[in-house]
Amino acid sequence: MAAVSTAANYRAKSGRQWQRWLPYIILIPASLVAMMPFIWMILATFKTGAEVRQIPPTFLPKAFTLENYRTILTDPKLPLATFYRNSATISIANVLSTLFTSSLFGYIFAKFSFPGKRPLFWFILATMMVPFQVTMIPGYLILVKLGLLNSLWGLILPSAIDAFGIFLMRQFCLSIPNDFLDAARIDGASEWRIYRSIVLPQLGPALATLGMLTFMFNWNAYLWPLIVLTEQNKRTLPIILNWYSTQHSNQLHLTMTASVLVVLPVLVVFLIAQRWIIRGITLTGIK
Amino acid sequence: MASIPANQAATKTSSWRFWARRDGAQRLFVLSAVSPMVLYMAFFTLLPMVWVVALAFFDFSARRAGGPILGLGGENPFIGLKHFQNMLNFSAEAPLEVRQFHISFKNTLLFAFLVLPLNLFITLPLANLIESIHTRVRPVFRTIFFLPVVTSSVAVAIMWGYILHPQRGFLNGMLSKVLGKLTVIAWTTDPRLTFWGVPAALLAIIVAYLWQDVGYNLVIFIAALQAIPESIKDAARVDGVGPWQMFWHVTLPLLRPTVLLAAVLTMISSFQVFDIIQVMTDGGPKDQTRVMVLDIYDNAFRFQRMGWAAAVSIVLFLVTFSVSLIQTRLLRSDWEY
Amino acid sequence: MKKLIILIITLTLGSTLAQTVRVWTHQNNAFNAGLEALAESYMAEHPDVTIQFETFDYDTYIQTLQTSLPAGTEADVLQMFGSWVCGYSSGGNLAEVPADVLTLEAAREQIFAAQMGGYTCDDKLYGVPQEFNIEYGAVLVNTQIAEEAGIENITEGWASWDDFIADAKLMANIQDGVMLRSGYNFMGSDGLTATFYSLILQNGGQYLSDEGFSVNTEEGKAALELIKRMVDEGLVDPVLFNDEANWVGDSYFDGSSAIGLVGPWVIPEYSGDYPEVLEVTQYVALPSAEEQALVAASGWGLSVSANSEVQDAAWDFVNYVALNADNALSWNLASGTLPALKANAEGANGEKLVGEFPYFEPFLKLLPYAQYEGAFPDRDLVWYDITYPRILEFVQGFSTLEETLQAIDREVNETF
Repeated sequence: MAAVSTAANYRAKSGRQWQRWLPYIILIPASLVAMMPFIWMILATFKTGAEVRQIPPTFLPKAFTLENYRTILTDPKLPLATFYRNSATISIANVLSTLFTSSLFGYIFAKFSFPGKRPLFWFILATMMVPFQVTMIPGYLILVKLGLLNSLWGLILPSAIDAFGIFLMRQFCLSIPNDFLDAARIDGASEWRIYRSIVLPQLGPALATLGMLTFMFNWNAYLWPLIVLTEQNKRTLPIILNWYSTQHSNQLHLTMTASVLVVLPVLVVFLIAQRWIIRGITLTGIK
Repeated sequence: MASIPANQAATKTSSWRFWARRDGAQRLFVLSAVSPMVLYMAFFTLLPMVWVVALAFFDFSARRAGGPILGLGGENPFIGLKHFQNMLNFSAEAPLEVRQFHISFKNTLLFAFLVLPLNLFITLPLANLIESIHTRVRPVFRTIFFLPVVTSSVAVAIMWGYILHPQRGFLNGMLSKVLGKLTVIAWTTDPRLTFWGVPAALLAIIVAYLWQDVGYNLVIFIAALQAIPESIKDAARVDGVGPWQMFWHVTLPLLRPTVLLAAVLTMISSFQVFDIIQVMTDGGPKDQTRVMVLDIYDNAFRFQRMGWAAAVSIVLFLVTFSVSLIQTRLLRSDWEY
Repeated sequence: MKKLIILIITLTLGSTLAQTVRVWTHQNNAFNAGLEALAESYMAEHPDVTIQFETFDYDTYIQTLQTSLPAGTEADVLQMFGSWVCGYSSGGNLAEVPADVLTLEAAREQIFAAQMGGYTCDDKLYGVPQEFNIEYGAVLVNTQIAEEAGIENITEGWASWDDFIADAKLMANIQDGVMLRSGYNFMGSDGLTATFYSLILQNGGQYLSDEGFSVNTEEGKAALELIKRMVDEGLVDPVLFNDEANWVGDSYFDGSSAIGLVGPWVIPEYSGDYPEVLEVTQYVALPSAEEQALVAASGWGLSVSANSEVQDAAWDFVNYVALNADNALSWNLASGTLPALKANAEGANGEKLVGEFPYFEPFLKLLPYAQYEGAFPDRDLVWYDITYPRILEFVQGFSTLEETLQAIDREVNETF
C-alpha cells in the first residue's frame, strides 16, 4: 500500500495548505477540457436540428428534446441491434481464440522443450515488429483465395494467434511451479487435462486482462473490417458510424445521437472492466 | 484451484516405464499443439510477409488475372525495382502517386515527431499530479483521462470534427464569444492555415489523436510511479528536495526505462495512424494530412495499384523497424548503465 | 437411384422456385426508395424472386466494389455510374446486356447518346442507364433571399454572366469579413468540374480530341478566368465552401448558400428535412456563352455481375426497372433524376414529368445540348483527384492559371 503512505506522508510533511490544492487547480480544468468532446457531443443530442445549425452555436440546449433518440432508434436504415451483434460476435470469437492459443502456446513455450523452440519463439517475437498495415494487402488476397472475404470468419481466422498474447502468457506460466505439473502427471492426468485444470486456472487474472484488451481492440477495429466486410448487414459499429455520419453530414444532431448510442453503452462496460484493461496496458509498458 | 492428486506414491513401481510414457505423452501433446501452430503461422503470418515483398516488384492489380503463382506475372508483370526507383523521383513532374507518397512520407514523420514530445509533455507531469493527490479521488481523474482510450477512434474523429466545425463547432463558438466578433475558422479544411509551418489540419488531427492516446501512457506512468520505492523519495525529502527537483532529479531518472519504452511504442503506433485521419479529413486539404497508411489503403483498395501500395508498405515497415532498432539500442545501453 | 432423381428434381425446382437477386447501390435515400418501390411491385408479379438491397456510402461503395470483385462476393445487380462501366467491364466483371433485353441498336434509339457513352465499351453494352446525369446548366435559387436582396424576377434568368454575378453578389452575406452566406456556391466537386469543362465547350473548345487531352488552350484559360472572377467578386469563399468544408447541397438547404450548383437529385434528398427552403426554391438556367453546350457524365444505372448465378432473373429485373418506360419514369420522379429514356423526356411522359416535378423544366430544355464527357480510363480520378483539387487550389490562391492548366494536362494524360 505504497499509495496510501504517499498520501499520508505528503499530508504530514506539507506545512503549506496551498501545495495540497495545487494539483487540483491544474487537474480539474484539465479534466474538464478532456471531457469537453463528450459533453459537446451529448449536448447536441438534446438539441433540435435548427438549434445545432445556428451560428454561432449554443452551448446548452434551448429546448430540450428527446426526438433525436426516437429518430435514430426507429430508423429502419440503422438496425443498431444487427451491428451490435456483428461487433459482439467478432470480438467474442477473437477473445476466445486468442485466450485459447495464447495460454496453450505460452504454456508450451514456458514449460516444454522441443526441437526448434528457440527459433520459433524468436520468430513469434519478431512478428510483433511487423505492423498489420504492412501485410494487409496479402492478408486481403489470402482471404479472397480462401473465399472468406465478406465473412465474419475473415475477421476471426487470421487473428487466431496473437504474438503478444503468447509472450504475455509465457511470462505468467514461467511462475507456475513444476512440482504442480509433475504431481498431476504422477496422478495420471493427461497433458491436455493438466493444461485445462491446472494451467488455465493459474492464469485466470492474466487471461481476464488479455481478454479485455483483445475485446477492446476488436470492438474498435476499423481498417481491417472495412476491407474484409463488403456487405452492409455484416459490418461492424465503427464502420456503420462513419457511414451514418457521412450520410448525415448536415444533420449533426442525428450523427451525434448515433455516436452516443454506439459509444456510450460499451464505454460503460469498459469502465466497469477498466482495471483489467489498465493492467494489460501497464504490462505492455513495463516488461 | 485444481485439486492436487493425493495418491502420489502408488504409481512409483516402474520409473523407467513411467518416464518413457511421460515423455511420449508430452511429446505427443507438444507435437499436436505446435504443428498446427507452425502451419497456421506459415500461412497467416509468414506468407503475407513474403508476399508483400514479392508484390512490391510487380505491377499488380487484384482485378487482373495474372500468372499461376499468386497471380504474379502475366498481366501483372515483373518490373524489378521500378516502384522504388519511382519513389526517388523528386521532380515536380513525377507521377501523382509518387508525389502523394512523398507527401504522405513527410506527413507521417512530421506527425510522429510532433505526437511523441507532446504526448510525453502532457503525460509525465499529469501522471505526477495524479499520483500526488489523495488515493480516493485518484481513480476519478485517471478514469476521465483514460475514457478516450477505450472510445472507438471513428467516434473520436466524429466528436472532434464537431468541436472544430467551422460554423457549428464548440471552438469557433468560444472564440466568437471571447473575441466579441463572429469567428469562422475552417480548422480542418483550410489549406492556407498554418501554425509554425505546420498545417492547421494536421495539428487538428494531432490534437484529436493526443486526446485519445494520452490515457495510454498516463496509465503506464502512474503504474511506474507507484513502483518507485517510497524510501527513495523519503530519503530525498529528508535532504530537503522540493517537488520540482524531486520530479526532475529523482522520479524522471528512475522512470527512464519505462519512458523510453513508452516513447518507442507511441512513436510506432503513430506511424500507423489511419482511422482518425480517414474519418476526419481523408487526407485533405491539399494532401496536408495524407499519411502512409492512408496512401497504402487508397492505392491498394481504391485505385488498384497494389504493387505500388506494397512497395509503400515496405517503406512503412522500414521506418517502423528502424525505430524498433533504436529502441533495442537505447534499452541495452540502459541495462549496461 | 430414385432418391437421387428426387433430389435432383427438388434441387432444380428449388432453385427456380426461390431466387434471390442481390442488388448493390450507393447510399442515396431517394434513389433507393424509388428502386425499392419498384422491387416491391416486381416481387408481387414474380413471387419466386426475392430482391435484396444493400447500400453503401459513395466512398465505401467504390472500395467495396474494388475488394469484392476479385473475390466474387459482389451482388448480382450492381448500380454503376455510367462513366465507370468500361473500367469494370474490361476486367471481365460485368455481363454483356443480353440481346433479348436490349440490343445496341435499340439502345441507341431509345436512350440519350450522352448516357449511352459510358455504358458502351468496344461496341458492346454493359448496363442500362436510369438517369440523365446533369450537374450543370441550371442552378438552385432561393427566391426568398433574392427578394430580401431586392432582386426582382430572378426566376426569369440572366442574359449575361455580368447580370448573374451582380445578382449573386447582392445575395451573399458577409459579416466581420466572414462569409456567412455564399451568393453562388459552385465549389462542389461535380459542379466545379462540370462548370470548367462545360465552359470550355461553350467557348468553342474541346478538351478531348484525337490528339489527346488538353485544357491548356485559349478556351480553357477563358473558362478558368470566369471561375476565378466569380470567386474574386465575392460570390463564394472557396475555403469555407467546398466538398470537404460545407458541401453545396448541405449549404444551400441550410441557408448558407443563396444559389447553388447541383443537379435536381438533391431535391428529394433534402425535401423532408427542409420543407421551408424547398417552398422558395426554383431551378433557373445559367447564362451561357455563344454556344449552348454542357458536359454530362453517363449517369447511374444498373449492370449485372458476370459472376452472378441468377443472371436471367437479374436482367429481367433491370429490364423491368430501367427499360419499362412507366417504371423508369416513376423512378426518375422518386429520385429527382432526369430520364435516360428519350421517350420519357418528351410527349405525354415529358409533360407528366414536369407536371409532377417542376424543378425539371429548365433541364429538359438543356438535354439536347448535353454531350458525354468522354471516355477516361479512370473518370473519378480525373474528376475528383485531379481537376477538382487543382481548380480549388487555383481559386484558393495557391497556384497561377498557367500552372493549373499545365498540371491538369500533365496529370490527366498520365492516367491514359
